[in-house]
Amino acid sequence: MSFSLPLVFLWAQGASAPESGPGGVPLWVANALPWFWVWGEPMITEGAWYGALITFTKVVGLFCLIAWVLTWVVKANSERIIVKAKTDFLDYVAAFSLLGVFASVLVGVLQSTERLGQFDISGFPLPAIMGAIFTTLLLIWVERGLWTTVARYGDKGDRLLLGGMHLALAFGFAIALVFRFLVPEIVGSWRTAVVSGFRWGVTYMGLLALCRVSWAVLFEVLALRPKRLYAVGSLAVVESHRRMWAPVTVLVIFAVILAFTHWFLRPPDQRPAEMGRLYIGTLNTLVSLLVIAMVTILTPISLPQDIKGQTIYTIVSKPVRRLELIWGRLFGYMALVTVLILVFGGISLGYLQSQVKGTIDETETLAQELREKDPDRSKLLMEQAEQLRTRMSARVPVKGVLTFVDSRGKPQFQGIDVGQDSETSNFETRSFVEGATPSTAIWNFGIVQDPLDPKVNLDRRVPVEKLLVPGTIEAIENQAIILEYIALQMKRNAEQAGGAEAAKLASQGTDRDAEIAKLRAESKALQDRAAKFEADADAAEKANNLDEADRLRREAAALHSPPVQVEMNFTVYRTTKGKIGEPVYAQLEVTNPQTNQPPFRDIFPIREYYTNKKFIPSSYLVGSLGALKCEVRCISPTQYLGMAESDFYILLDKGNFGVNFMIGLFGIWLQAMVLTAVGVFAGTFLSWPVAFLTTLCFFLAGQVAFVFLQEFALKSLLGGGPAESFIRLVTHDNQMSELTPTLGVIVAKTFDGLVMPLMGRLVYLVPNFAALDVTNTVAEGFAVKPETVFYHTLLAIGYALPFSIAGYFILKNREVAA
Amino acid sequence: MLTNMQRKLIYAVLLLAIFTSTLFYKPRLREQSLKVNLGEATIGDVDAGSFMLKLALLGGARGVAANVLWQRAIELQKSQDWDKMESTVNLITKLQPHFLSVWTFQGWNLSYNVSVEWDAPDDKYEWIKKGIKFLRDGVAKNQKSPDLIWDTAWTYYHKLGFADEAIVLRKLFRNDVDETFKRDPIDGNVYNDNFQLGRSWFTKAVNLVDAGEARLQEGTESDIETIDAPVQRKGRPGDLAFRSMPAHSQTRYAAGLEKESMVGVPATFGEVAKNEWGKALNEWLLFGRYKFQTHNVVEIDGKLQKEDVYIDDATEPEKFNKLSENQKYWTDRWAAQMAYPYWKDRSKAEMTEEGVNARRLFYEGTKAYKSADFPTAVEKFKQGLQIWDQLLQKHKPYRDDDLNQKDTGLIVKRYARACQQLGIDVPKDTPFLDLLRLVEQDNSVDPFDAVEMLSRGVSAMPGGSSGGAPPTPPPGN
Repeated sequence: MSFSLPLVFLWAQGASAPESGPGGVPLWVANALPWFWVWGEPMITEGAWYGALITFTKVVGLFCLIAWVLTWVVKANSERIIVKAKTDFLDYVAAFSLLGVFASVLVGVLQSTERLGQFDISGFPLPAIMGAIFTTLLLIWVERGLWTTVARYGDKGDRLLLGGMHLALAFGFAIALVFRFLVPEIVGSWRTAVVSGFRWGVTYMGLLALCRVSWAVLFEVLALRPKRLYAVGSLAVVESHRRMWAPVTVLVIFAVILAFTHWFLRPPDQRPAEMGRLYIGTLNTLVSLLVIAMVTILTPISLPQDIKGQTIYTIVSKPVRRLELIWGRLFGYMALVTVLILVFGGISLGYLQSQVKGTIDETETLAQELREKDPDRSKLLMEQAEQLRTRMSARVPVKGVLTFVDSRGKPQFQGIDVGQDSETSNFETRSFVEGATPSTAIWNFGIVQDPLDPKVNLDRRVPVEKLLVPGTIEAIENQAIILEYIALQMKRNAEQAGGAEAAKLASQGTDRDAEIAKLRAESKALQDRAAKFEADADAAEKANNLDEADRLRREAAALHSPPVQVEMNFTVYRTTKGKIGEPVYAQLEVTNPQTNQPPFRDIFPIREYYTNKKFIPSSYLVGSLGALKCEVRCISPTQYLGMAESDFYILLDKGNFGVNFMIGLFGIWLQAMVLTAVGVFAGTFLSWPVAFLTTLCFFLAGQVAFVFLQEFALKSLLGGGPAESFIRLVTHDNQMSELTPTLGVIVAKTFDGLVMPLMGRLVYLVPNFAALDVTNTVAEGFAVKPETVFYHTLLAIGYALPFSIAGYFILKNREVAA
Repeated sequence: MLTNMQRKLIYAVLLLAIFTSTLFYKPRLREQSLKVNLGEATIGDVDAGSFMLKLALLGGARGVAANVLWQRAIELQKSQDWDKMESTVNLITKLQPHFLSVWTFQGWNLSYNVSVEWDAPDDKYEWIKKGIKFLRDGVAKNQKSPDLIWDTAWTYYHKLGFADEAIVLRKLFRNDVDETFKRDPIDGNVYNDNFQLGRSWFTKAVNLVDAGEARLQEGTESDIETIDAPVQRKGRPGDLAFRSMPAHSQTRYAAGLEKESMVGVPATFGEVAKNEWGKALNEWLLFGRYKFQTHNVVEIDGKLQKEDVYIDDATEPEKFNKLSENQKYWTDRWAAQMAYPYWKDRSKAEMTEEGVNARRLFYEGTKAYKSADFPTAVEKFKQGLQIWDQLLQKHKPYRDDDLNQKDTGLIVKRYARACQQLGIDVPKDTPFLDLLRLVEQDNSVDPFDAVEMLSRGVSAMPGGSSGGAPPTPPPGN
């Protein structure tokens, strides 16, 4: 969320005096303040690319803080510092405070269910005050434990951190106070100042804890040796082979299921076009299931078994770092997963090749056979074979910016809403253009103003250089025109500059003119050659030499760049049936806004749920500088055409399906990496059955229930928390109605009030496995973008790294050889 | 303590014992499964996928899985992911092949709801066909369910024959090379008209009910106490509509023959048409002579009894007069409800030489009229109307029926317009001239006649009947 961030930045930059900000503070303070806010408030981040990284750092920092404090509290407990043999006054206070926290939630629930009146003390609600008091008391108790334990057992770093953390908290409050005076838009009241101060202070504490952890890890990382990592890794591989022959078992299961896929998976008959998608989806699911199952079983078992079987003695008695134990395992398992995924990928590709390609051939043969007997069906089959081929590619689309013109000719962001719910696979909602009216959908390519925010320019240029084949007429013409643009610009510059500069520019201009003339001549020669080929072809055709005519035409075409392919997926909405059997027609009009070339127009029937393809002459790209205007209208009166931005695109490249499929499997590899980290982490402190279940739960929560967790965190879940929902379930109450505040309901709500905030935080802990899955993109026949792969890799590392490091610390502090 | 070997031996013996005990249980199980028709496979056609899935999800998990899949299918339908939806639905039937509601609901869903989402008629046809095939698959796995058979018949009959695009859909059916889809379930022949298939499937359902089979009444569920027991929807006693459907289908087929009811397929007359109308009459007589029973009871010989009702008696005054008052009431009521006198009389009239000739002349006249050949149109209409008049003198119920009056009125209207075009007056002695007034304001056309719907027949459709032209290949490639 970065809703009011620009405000602060504007304020910082728009300071009245150059040396000082508002309120007379020095400018550097005014400039630094927004950053303190961004780094302090957990729910806010910058809108730029590094925004996510800031959030990530803050979240990891908070977890580091929790982990550090917990470690010392546990240490204090085990050393009998906190809970001594003889309980003292502070222990009683702590126990009382625990009850008090519970009571404050209870009071909150009672107030919300109107069993208790609202009490506010100077603007603060009663439960909040109670909560604050009791939490503070509890914190004092924790503080005593921390100070004593850290003083006795901690090293210099820990002592520094403990002191620094308190300073950080104070700093948080201080910053909040400054904001209260200088930026009342953000910290509007004293109450907000106290709450924000605490939040920001805790975040700063987390950042300090992160620094401490990073410092400790840095030395460990520097001490890593590839040889030892390799040794631990290869041990993990050998071990997984010994354990249930896991990789081989997984391979055999894969082969067996694949051999019988046709039992379960019937490609939709009559619609082979869908076969590719179905098969790719199923194969990816199968690979994912098997790899994930293997990782889930193997990784959490490994360490606990080693510890239980005391084989870990042999390892820890060697000079092996603990981080090497963790990362070595991680690398070992990932090597195994890599090999498996490569093998699975190879087999799957072979399978797809034989099945789907076989079906394409079969469909085409059938279409040929039916050409005489049933021409309609033959045509349908040909189209389906073509669609299937489209799906088995890795298309790279170039998308424009979509705006509309309504039926009265007024520009609009959206088309007409016909009340038909239609979404693209990118979750964009389609809107409609009305037939036989000025209603138009316009896709603009080039540097285009964002229709929703005119301040933002979007770069949607058509990569002309990639589409025009070098050495062809269009490519040469394009070069010449670009030079002309430059010449024109230079001429203007020269006029403005005057004097010696103008003379210099003029001499450069002469060279350029010569080059333009050369290019023009070259293009002319090619055009003449093409015209001659065409003329010869016509002559050959007249002489009934069809083969020769065909050859000559090909030669002529080879001198031009191939036409540009555009693809469209439109939906049809009919208000009347129209003439039975007649399709709805669309008109495509393509204009090059930089030249005076008359627009390219084509009228064609729309086939719903199919990819409609059209070819635009490549000459429309010449001199366009990547800008094109593509307009689509509906020709059939009283009918509507539905479209969203990603329904129309220029096809840059058909790509390589095999490579794309493997990139799709890379998504599964990333999932496996995160899960391996989770598994190894769980294995460091849990017994193997619990570690296994933990890993499994992490996977299920991340893959199946992530949306649910998000709702949990945002408190947008209908029907309350788990206890309240249970009551609704048992009493057959719906999710919307308020429950009568009986004792049971109040207890349930109180329980939820305690549990929900903790469970809501799980959303930061549970890896979003589903986000790493790109199966749909691959199955639809689109290339997975390199930046998507990059972001997914970052995301996966963002999960795997903290888990593995947490595992390292646990293993380090654990008495493995006990 | 037992040694390892001893333990293994005990397990082996136990396994063997359990396995042997099933041998005694099996015949009983088999008998039961035959009784309630829960056989998993017909010989030579084992559904291995279904078997494996059921094996993997033994017991209660199957229901849960089916439930999850059903919800997923609905989600997929909402997001218009039709093909994934179809495979999900197929999975449900693999899990629970004897769960009749899946077949009924999803078969209807595919052919009625999914098909309308597609714009091009050939896509619509594919989805209707999928729905029908799905239902047929259900029938194959539940052979004693009149409901499923009736649903299959209804989809052949109604969705293909009465859709707005019926003239195109029926043509696509005719051209379909898939013989299994067009094979008659009773005589095994391949037919080119969906109404013929409809008739046979309807007849099959009626026969099954007559043979006393009712899957849901006496099947698996009879031993289970349910709160809302599933009921057999079709073929219950007194279900008039159910029994009339074979006759309706045959009538539709015969009527469809005499017009361009499929785009680009000319009408058929002569012996073929006469014969099909004759069959329609037979079907109606079969329906009319079926013994229904009155809903109420009357006292006969001191006992309260239901009385027999034959709907056909309504058209036979002699028999009708002999009936009791109660029988007369029900006979009259049901005959009127089913428009029986009209259908019977119509079949009787249309099956004659004159009937077929008049229809041929009307058809030729209309074609001439639509192609502005007015002299021919006038001539054909004139001849046709005269024959039609003579014929209908003998068929009073048909003549007086509203539907026929509209039909005939339209011919008279066209005749009058054709005369107008030629600048001549409509002869005063033209039969049915009184109907002109009735239809003067009526501009509706017969949606099941391509001549009416598309005045220039097939050529009116650019690119034939399919929706989109194939993508243009890039020149030079």
